[in-house]
Amino acid sequence: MRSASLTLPALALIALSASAVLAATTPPPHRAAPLHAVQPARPAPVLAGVPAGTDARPLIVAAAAAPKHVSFVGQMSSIRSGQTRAFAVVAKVEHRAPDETRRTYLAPRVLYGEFVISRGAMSWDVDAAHKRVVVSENKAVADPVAIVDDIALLDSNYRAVRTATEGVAERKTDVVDLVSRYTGERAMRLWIDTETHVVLAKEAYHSDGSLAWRTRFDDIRFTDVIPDTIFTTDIPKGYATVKGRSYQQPQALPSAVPDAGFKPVTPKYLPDGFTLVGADVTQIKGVRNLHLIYSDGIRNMSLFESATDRAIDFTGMSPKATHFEDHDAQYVRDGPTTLLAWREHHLAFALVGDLDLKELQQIATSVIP
Amino acid sequence: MTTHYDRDTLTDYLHGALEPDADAAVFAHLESCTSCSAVFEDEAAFGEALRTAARAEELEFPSMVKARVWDAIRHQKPSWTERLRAWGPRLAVPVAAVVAIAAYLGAPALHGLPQAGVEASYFLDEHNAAAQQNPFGPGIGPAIYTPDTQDVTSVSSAASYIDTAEAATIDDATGAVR
Repeated sequence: MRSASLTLPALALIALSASAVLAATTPPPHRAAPLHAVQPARPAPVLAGVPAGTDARPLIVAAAAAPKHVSFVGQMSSIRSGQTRAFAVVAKVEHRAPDETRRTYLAPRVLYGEFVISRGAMSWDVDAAHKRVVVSENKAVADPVAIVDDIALLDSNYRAVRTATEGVAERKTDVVDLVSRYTGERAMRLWIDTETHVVLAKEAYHSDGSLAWRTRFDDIRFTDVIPDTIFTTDIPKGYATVKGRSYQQPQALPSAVPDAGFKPVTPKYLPDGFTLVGADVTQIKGVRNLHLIYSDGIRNMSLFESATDRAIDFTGMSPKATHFEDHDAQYVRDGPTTLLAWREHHLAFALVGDLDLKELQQIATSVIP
Repeated sequence: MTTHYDRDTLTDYLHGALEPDADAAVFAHLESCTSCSAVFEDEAAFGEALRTAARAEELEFPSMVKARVWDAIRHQKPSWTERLRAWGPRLAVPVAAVVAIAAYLGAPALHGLPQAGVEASYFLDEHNAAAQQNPFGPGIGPAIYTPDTQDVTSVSSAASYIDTAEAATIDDATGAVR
């Protein structure tokens, strides 16, 4: 397994991305000032005209930082591909730099009218169907250090290669492939706006090359002129406020894994490039759950452990039985994501990731209490 | 003399099975030919009726089929289970007693069955929340609402990544999360 060691290029990348990301967290002084709508709000000042076939790491860094200083309004389509079916969502996206975003769902019809406003770590999900607003917090999404870590990890596992120039939403984009340094397979393709470096489209692929998910702007307009009312988090009259879950910032490693009240078990086998990037403990139904988070910079995988005799509750789902080594297990698929659950030595395990079932089983086999 | 299309060609047209040139020609012809239009509409209506029938949850047998089935049932000799059922009221009390005794004696064995634990949607939510920090992830989607029965410390929903809740409803494996 290749570790996420910080080689010289990675250090340079971190320095570049840290300056880009951290500088961008300072709110722009003229955020509400009326500008010409068709002009990019804060065009990124670098990297125009990168030749095809060249190292595209600087583009990746610029793309990760772009939403911090570029505001835009557009319509985005997303497709998640399951084992036998795919599912599409269309949403209007309004983003005001550095960290306010509203997604208003247009399709499928069951989501029509629902919108989510996020501001930094907080999000307000306005659910018109149930007349409620769910307020949640996810500290990890607003942590610039975590983002820099992600980019460094991505760089250690993937080569970023600019392959072409294409048009997306009537904008010129640099097409960047993220190619595994281990297998040579393309894991992700990004279409990065040449002027603003906002990612206008992205596709993630399974190891067999099939599409796992894609997002793509159908149209986009770069503008700072977005009314404040778009991002208002006032609770509409007649709506209930529901306190959503509060996701803590996972403990960064190599600091100790938080105490879950039992000896944590880590897998002996991980797919190439995956490394433990965080851990968290939550209490649910009186049982402490240890959440170990693994990543290779693009794909995430979660291993949940708890000391309980209770089986995972699959109510409302259609779990399928499977077997590996001497274990009877169950799994469910949610689009490209698979959850594999099993028990061993009075510990309950759940492994979740956008990986093949076979690969998840291989990892699970190496989890030996 | 006007040339008309036969039913097979119109059926192929209906199913989009014609080559582009032929498809365009039939399309233009149907605009002006009432005769072919009528055949085409008839074919389309028939197809729609078949689809409606296929979609119906309960299919009604034709009355003649039902009559034959009932006739066969009337002339069939009673099986041993049917004869046993005739004894039902007289057997019910002893059978119930045996079941009750078995349940009483077997109860301790049932104690080992695991109670319902954490709902699987919780793990999907947590995983998705962790994945959100990745700048090149699929992005934030509509919330997934952990069911109210899920007694999590400071809980109830997670703004999760794209479409998981609805995908779970219609995708091939998981079922509704909401």
